[in-house]
Amino acid sequence: MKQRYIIGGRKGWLKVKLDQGRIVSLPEYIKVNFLERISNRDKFEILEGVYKGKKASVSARGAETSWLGSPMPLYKSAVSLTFKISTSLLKTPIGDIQAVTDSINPIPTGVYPIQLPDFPHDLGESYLDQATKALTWFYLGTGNAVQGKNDRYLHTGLISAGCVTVKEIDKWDRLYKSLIRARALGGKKIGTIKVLA
Amino acid sequence: MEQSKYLPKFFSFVFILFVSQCALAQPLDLGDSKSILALASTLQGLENKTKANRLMDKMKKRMEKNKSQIKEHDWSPLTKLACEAAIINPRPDRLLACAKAEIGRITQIHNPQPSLENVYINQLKRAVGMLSAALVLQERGISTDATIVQEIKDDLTCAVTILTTGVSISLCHSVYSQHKDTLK
Repeated sequence: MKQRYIIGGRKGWLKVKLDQGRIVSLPEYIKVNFLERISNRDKFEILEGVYKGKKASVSARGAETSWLGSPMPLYKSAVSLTFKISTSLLKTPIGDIQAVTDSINPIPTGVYPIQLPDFPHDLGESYLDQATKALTWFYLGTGNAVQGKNDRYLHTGLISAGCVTVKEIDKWDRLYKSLIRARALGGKKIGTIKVLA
Repeated sequence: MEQSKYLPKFFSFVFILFVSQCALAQPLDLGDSKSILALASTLQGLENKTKANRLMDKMKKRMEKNKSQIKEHDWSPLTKLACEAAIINPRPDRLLACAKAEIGRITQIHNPQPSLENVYINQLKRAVGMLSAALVLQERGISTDATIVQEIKDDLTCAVTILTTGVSISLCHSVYSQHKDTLK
């Protein structure tokens, strides 16, 4: 077994087939264990994120190439972000960025884990012309997000329904780059965000 | 005679505008009709229209999918789609959809702060701002069909009535009236 990582497409995602047959998208840089190449498909075990522990496969990129990259890239230590609701400022490794939450349903103050991206969020599609990674949202919580349960994310866009929404859309790709290879212990999180009033 | 026929309608419209301005005395973000109207004067380009149309199509498809799959709307994404469309290219129909979605999502807000009543009142104020702006845009000639105009007027009357009296009225759309006991 050899550790590799997911190479994503331009939007940062790769579609793979779980052993149970379901097609899912994995975010780039997710660590995997390469198992074998059979019938032009690369089989692997997912080591991080919402599908951690599951086996999957993807068609080979070419005769000698694969969507499972190696050597491993450099991963960074966990990030620590701070979002101040009153000033609409998000402190990040790339500097302060304008961000908002919904004034009527604001994210409660406190410290939240930032999870590895769970799935491509199609609500980000309208910003792809300004941010190639706009489909990538980071879930702020533990466990998996549940549809319709008022889940909070860090994402880019114009409208916030209670998430931490980065309004400077043109800065999203830079912020994404600083987050996507950060890792906290446990293989699910990239760091934390502190929300202040 | 002919003029007097329209007087009650005229006065009710003036009343609605008056009350809606009172409700807007405090600055509101998305519900600030002045900001919406200022936005509307600059965002009518073809690119904005196309983008907003795409968002509205997506919202409608999602609503149909919600109906067939989960029997109720998942309002948070619907709000994002409708309100983004309204901000990118403000038009009466989009403001109407955004206001409805924002009211609709109140039931799905987990742990409303500081209270459900507070959230409901603030969303109603937002709705008043958006719907007032929608009527002004319609009067400025941003065309929309008569059914939508009537719906905007009904929803505006409904929101203003609930805000001023605390009681839901019969013309209220179901998303507005589902909270009718909240203010009692």
